[in-house]
Amino acid sequence: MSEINNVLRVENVTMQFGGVVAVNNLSMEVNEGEIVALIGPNGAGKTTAFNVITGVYAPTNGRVCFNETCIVRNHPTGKMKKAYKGEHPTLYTAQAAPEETLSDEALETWKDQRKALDPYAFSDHVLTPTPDKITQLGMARTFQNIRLWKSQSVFNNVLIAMHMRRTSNLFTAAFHLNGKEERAQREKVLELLRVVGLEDVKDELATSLPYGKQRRLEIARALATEPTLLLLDEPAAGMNPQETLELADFIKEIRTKFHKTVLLIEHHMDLVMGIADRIYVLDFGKLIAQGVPAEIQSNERVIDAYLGVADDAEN
Amino acid sequence: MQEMLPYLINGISVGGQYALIAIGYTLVYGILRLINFAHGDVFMVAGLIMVYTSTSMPIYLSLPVVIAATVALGFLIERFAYKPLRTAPRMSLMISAIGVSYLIQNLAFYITGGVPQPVTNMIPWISENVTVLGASTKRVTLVTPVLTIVLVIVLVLLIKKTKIGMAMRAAARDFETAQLMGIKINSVISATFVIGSFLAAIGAMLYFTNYPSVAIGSGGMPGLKAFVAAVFGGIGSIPGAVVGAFLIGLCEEVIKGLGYTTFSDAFTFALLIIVLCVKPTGLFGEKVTDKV
Amino acid sequence: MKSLKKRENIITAAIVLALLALAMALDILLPGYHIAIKVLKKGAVYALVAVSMNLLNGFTGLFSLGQAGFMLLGAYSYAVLCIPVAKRAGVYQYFDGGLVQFSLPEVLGKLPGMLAALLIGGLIAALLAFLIGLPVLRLKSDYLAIATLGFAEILRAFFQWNALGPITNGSNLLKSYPEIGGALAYILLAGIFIAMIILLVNSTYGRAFIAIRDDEVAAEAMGINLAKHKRMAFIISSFFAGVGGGMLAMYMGAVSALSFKSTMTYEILLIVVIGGIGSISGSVLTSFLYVASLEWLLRGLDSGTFLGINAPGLFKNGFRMAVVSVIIMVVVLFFRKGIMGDKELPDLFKKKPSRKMKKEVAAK
Repeated sequence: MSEINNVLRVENVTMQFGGVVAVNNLSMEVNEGEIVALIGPNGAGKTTAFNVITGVYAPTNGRVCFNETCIVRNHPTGKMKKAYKGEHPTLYTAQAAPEETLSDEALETWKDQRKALDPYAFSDHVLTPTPDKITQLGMARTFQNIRLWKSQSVFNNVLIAMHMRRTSNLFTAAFHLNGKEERAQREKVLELLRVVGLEDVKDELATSLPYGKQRRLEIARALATEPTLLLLDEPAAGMNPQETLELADFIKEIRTKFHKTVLLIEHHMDLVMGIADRIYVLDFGKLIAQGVPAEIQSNERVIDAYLGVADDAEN
Repeated sequence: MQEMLPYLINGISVGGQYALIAIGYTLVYGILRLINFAHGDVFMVAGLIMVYTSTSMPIYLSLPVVIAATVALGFLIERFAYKPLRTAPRMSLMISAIGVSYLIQNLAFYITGGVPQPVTNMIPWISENVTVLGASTKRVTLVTPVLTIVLVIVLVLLIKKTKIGMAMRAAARDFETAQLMGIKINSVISATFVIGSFLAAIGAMLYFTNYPSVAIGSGGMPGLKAFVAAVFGGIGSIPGAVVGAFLIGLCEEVIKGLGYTTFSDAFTFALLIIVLCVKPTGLFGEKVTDKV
Repeated sequence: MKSLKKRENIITAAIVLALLALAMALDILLPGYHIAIKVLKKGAVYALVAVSMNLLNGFTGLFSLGQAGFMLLGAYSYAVLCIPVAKRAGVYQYFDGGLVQFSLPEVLGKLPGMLAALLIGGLIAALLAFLIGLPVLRLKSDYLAIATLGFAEILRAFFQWNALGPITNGSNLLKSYPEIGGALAYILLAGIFIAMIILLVNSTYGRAFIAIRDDEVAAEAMGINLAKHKRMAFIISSFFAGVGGGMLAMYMGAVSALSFKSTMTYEILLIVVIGGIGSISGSVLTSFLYVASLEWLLRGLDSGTFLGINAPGLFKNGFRMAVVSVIIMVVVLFFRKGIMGDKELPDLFKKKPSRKMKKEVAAK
């Protein structure tokens, strides 16, 4: 029997900005080799969830584990504690207890299991590494609003993403004594560009590319950091149906050829239903449904969230 | 304590003058996110104009002329040096401000020959000597704090109760949305500079009655100190700028009184750095989060 | 490295060599106090400082206004370490001959001693950058500018404090230290340091700096540690500013903290902007242009006669700077990209694609 490896595990993550709860008690899992999609209406908190996972925000509560190492962990303090406790009386401590009431013994066992994975579970310890450290561990992302380096060429945009994997230090690099490593990395960049089909425009300014190609460039750039998990934030935004199909094939290729795991946020339902193994649905920061595409398509709560019919009918 | 008294009194007075300048900085930064480096030089030019007009026309004429000319200068600077760069990156705008400051100082040097201009015809009444609690000082040191507080109250009322004030607050909150909502952003910005320059003119008239010599660099230090006051109080907050200014004025004079004159300037900068490192939003400032 | 053989690089190299030959010739033909020699020397110093500022402000996007402070450190380091022992009693007359009782040129030999003093000045500046970098670099651009400005001013106050007199000579001048040579020496020296910066900018770290400037959120997401790289840029830039300060001390012959006011930083900043943010050749070119115009060509504007026009009422003291300020404002407002934009000298000589080639590319 093959072991299912948890590449990413999001546990009871809440992100609160003052009075606004952007992500409310979200728990998700992504297993090795899967393509998982996070969908939901605009403003549901999907990008915020991404930002918590990649270390841009420190969550108000909860934790994120990557390949069984806890990388992000927090629990509410000060004013947040009060505000959070009101809504989640049992969850405002460092680690959420399971929903059902357990006997004291069972609870202790459960706690010990947690502590084995994360020595700081149930403590006040806050863990919020900077995004670059999380990328070093093997997680890379693209952005909802394309964030390419505008003054640089297509080639350089990908080359810069390889900077963090260098073994040369400042002096060897500054005096150009690292020729071998430089050449090897440039080769890899060319290969990546070939894979995404941008080789012929490699010396063009990154922003001179059409929108769809810029998105592909962002993906190539993320791949250059040699990640295990790829997070794509609306990769098909602004693409026409043809481009979306090509993107779908490409994402599948990322899984099979590059052996990466993919978590994506997307609005294009065809893309999502076509390539996702599992789907999580967010609405107003809360997880309202999860499952395989077929289940989600027929889920009433999901349909309501997108169309808002049931809410109005109830009023 | 008795020896410190003249320094304390002077500190409150200088603080008031800094406050009048600081408000100009904080208003402009609140809306444009620009540190108007030229503001201190506008203050200095007001002083120069006061010197020239007070010798060539009667006092009740020269004061309005100083105010009008300073306001015009502030308005023109915004119109020609800042407005064209409104869509440019922030650094370009700051560089333009530095360039304007440089230009004003060099023009002033050319016109005055680099010689500090003494204030020969002082404003009557406020430049007379009075005795307070045993210390002798000019009446202006008593008038300044009072006048400052009155003007600040008027300004705060203006911002809270009038339409233009509301427009300014909206623009400070969210520049683009304010434009989309139909607020004439150009008028708002011009009004901001007009108010700032007006207050700077008054501040100059008071300051140069206290220190009756206008040198080219006279705007530099007070300007920078007023800016530090604005940052300390929370940039964008008028009461904060005023509190900060009085604090800096007092501390500066106390340090002078204790004998460390060379360090009175350095103190202000040290305060700035501490504020920026400990609480960058200042005493009354608000935190702004960037969207990723 | 096949890029070295490209046409445009050869032309650039030729120009640089020509300039060096010119400097050498002028050194031989003209007396040391001739205005042309002075312009070349001061231009070289300003070029180095401008490039160091461009590295920080232009390439990494960190708006720092502390350059004068680092130059001050470098200048004083050079002076303090190079005053001949025999002259110290005279220079430090109010401080019993001063604390430092040796002089590097006398200990290590003339040239090595002076070079060592320059490098030590750079290292001291870099050390200060390291110390203040940690808190200061976290600040947003406008606040960073004011904080660095503040540090420079505080530094200046310290250097004028008489309590530190045994080292700094308090509010008195430091003088009588030796100079490294003629215009050629200055240009070679500045050239070597600028070459180092060019190498850095074209390396992977240079590209990382540019990424931070263009979009630091993306840079961080792609694994570039912002704090570490910003500090790196800050320290390196300050090192070269310190060395430049040492060279400025050499040129001026006497140093006082008073000359290192924030106006000096503004001058360098304006040179960088006019030359083009992100263009090293722009900074170098504009430095020489600025110094030449100010010291030489526009002198007449201050003294009554300019270009044959005699108007002492108009052309009096200060007109020169006023004219320069106006020109600066014109460039800032209308030529925002500066003289060179973000291009370098070789780019000017690149073969432009012919019309036929352009059609082929468009047809693809």
